[in-house]
Amino acid sequence: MYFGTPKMHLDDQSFLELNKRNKDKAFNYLVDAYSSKVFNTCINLIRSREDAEDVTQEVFTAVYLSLDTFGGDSKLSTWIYSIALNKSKEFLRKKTRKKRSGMMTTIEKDDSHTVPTATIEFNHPGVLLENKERTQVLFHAIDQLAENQKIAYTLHKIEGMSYSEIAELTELSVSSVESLMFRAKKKLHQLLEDYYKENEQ
Amino acid sequence: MNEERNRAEDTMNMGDHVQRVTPSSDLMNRLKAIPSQVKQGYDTIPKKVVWMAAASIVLLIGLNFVSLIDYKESQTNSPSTETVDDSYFSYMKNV
Repeated sequence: MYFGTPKMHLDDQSFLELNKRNKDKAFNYLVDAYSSKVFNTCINLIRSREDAEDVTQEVFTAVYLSLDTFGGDSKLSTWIYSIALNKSKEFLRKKTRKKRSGMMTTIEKDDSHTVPTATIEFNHPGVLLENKERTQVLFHAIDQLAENQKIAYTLHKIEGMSYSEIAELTELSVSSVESLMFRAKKKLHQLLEDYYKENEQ
Repeated sequence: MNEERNRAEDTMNMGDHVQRVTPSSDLMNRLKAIPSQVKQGYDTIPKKVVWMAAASIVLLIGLNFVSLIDYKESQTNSPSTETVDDSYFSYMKNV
């Protein structure tokens, strides 16, 4: 299970009690338990170490500020990852807007079957050098998907989350996530096939 | 055609080769420092300003309360037959 169990594991009820007794201690537990997964979720969506670090910091600041209001209605892990997901989406929207307004987007053709060459710069430390070129092509193709397809695909295929975990995070039904994934895979395949066809010629 | 399809499939599998990244110690320090930074943020608002704001609110509520009492008194003292329109027009005539 992706949401997994950290080294020192507290169930949600014990965490709530710790949070009531000592907020800072509870926050430190969250940093130890979830920082790595939150950072990886951010980096897989944002694909730049520096930006993912900034967004991770924003996520934990939001978590700290709303710790008092967390009443355990949802699972702790779901709550934190949904904040991470929203902050990453917010960041990507801002970045895309900035680039569009700055005329910096280099899209080779205004056609749905092309892979843009540089919508978002690629600086993912989790990609080995020998795989960099093809992974970059894959990520650029993923960027062409609709936002909800992009998120579902990244969380499932790169983060390794199950459909039910994605459904919980995105507040969708499992069948909606399945359908999103089906459409995402189909579109990606088409995009990549067209890309290789064009590059062969 | 088949070659492009195979290349597309191979590329789609590249997602499996993305490794997990360990957060840097710098990031961990930044995260651990969040509580103190947030508290510092609260402390940067001078206490004097907080008290001034509180005093202004109390003053505002007090003035509203006094004017409400005045208004009620004026309502009870004024003849009951006079309507708002009457008082308005008599005031306008005087002007």
